[in-house]
Amino acid sequence: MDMNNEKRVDEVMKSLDQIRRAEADPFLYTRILNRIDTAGREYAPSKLIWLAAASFLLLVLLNFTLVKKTMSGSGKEETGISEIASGYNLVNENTINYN
Amino acid sequence: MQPEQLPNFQEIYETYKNKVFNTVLGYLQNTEDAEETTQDVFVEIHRSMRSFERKSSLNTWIYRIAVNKSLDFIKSKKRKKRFAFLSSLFDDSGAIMHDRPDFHHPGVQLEQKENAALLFKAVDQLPENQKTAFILSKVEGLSYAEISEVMQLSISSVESLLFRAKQNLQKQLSDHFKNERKF
Repeated sequence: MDMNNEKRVDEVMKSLDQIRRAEADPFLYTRILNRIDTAGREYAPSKLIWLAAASFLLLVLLNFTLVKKTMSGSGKEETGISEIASGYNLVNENTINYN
Repeated sequence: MQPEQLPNFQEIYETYKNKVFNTVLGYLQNTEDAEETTQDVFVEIHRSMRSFERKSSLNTWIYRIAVNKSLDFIKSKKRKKRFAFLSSLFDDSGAIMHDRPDFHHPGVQLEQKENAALLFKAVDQLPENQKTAFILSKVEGLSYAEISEVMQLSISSVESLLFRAKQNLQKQLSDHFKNERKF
């Protein structure tokens, strides 16, 4: 290490010699009390949370199945009606069938 | 003889707030992070006050919590950075991690500002134990005996850690100045 380099390193190493202690924000205490208050609140037990989540999932699944069944059921019904209509020659040939 | 009663939480806060904040700030080198971690420290103190067994002094116990919480914060930040790096690989913006800005400790004298920023950058590269010993000694001004209690090491181990920390810092700074001259 040359002299100049050594001198600069020494200067940097001594730069914290006169350091003063940093001071905490005056509002920190209020924030800490707030955190303590929040942490101290009673939360629902995790079992109950899982049970609620599972029930919700089941509800969504049932709804989905029901909607799917209803939709496929309504399609079948329509096909059934048109089959009967054509079987009994009830389809008016002058009207345009949009199906 | 009855053990001496602990002071209440507010008294503890008033006595230790700056000690804790200064120690944590030395570690994290960022005011917002230091404030967040100082909150964590006092929440932990509040939570564990009743179970404090007085195996060490209150002072040592609080410093230990401050050191541990700082280390936890650094570890969680490193994990987040790793994740950010991975996600940036799949990101079009290409914004990866930026170089950390210089840290200016509010207690450093104005004429030493630049040198101290350089030193803090080098301190950040030290191994965990050397960093702890250096911060407690140079930034917080604890004696070797106090540091040995906080770190649960012998005084000679603390001396050795500080010696190695100084050597590492000198080497880093020397390399920095050599590279600076090249450009």
